[in-house]
Amino acid sequence: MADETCLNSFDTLPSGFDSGALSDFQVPESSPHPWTYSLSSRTAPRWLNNVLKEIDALRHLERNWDSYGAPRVNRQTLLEAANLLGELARPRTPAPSVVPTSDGAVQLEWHTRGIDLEVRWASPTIVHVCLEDLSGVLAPIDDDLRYDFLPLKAALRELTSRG
Amino acid sequence: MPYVDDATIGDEERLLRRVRQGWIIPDHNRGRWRPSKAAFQNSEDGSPMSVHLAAVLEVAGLPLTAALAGHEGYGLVSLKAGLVRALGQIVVRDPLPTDPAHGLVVGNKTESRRKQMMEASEWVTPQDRPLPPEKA
Repeated sequence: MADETCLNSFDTLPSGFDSGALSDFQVPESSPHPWTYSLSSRTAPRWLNNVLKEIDALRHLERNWDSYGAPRVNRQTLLEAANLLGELARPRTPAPSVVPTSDGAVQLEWHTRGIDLEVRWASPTIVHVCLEDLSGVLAPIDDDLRYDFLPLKAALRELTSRG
Repeated sequence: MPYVDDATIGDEERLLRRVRQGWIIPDHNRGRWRPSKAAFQNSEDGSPMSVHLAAVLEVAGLPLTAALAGHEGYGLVSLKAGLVRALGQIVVRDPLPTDPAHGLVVGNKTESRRKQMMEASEWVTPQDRPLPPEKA
C-alpha cells in the first residue's frame, strides 16, 4: 500500500472510517468496538487490536486530562496513528506504548531491542520521529516526516527483525 | 509580561513534576520505568510548564508527595533547577492561593530539551514494580 493511502482525511471517527485504507483488515459491519478488526494472523501482531483500543480510548480523555490543562486529543491524529500502525506492524513487531501529549497529539513509543523509537502525530500529515539505536546500526533521526515514511518503515523493520 | 529568572531558586533546588499513569512507560532497554518525554512540555495554550518547588513544600513541613494531592495514581519526578536553566529555561515562582509551592519552567521545549529533562529526571515516587514482558 502506498504511504499516501494512510493520509486520507476523515471527518469523523469511526463511522466514517475508510476500511479501504487498511487493506490487511476487514472491519466488521457490526463490530462491538469501533476499532476492532478481524486480523490476519499472517500479517498482524497479536497485540494490534488491544493497542488500537488504547488509541481509541484517548478520544474519551476530557480537557485537563494531564492535570496541567491539556486539550482533548485530536481525533484525526488518532486515526492516522491507528492507520499507520495497522499498516506497518508485523507479527514480530513489539507493542508500543500509547502516549497522549499535552498539545492534543498522540505518540507511540518503543524502548526495546536496543532501539528507542518515538513517533508523534503533530498533525494528520506531519509525523515527528525520534530514533536512537543503541547499537548504532540505524542512524539517529529527530525530524518531522511529511508523506515520506520510509525512515520510519526502516526503523520498524529493524525493530521487528531483532525479535 | 516577560518572565525573569528567579535567582532565589538555587541550581540545586528540585522542581517537581507530576507524571500521569499513561506517561509512565516501560523501558526494556534500560530495565526500568521511565517518564515519557511527553511529561515535559508547556501547555497547549502557551502557558509555561508547571512545577512544584520542593523547597517550599519542605519549609512548610509537607512531604514532596503533597504535589500529588488530588491526583491519585500519578507519579512524581524531580528535576534540578540548574539542569533546566542549562537547557535555556527560566525558573520562576508562581504561588497560587491554594498552591504556594507552584512554579513555572519557562522557555521553548524542543524534542532535544525534553529528552534531556526526561533523562535527568529522578523518580520521587519509586517505580519498582516489575516491567511487563514485551508483547510481540
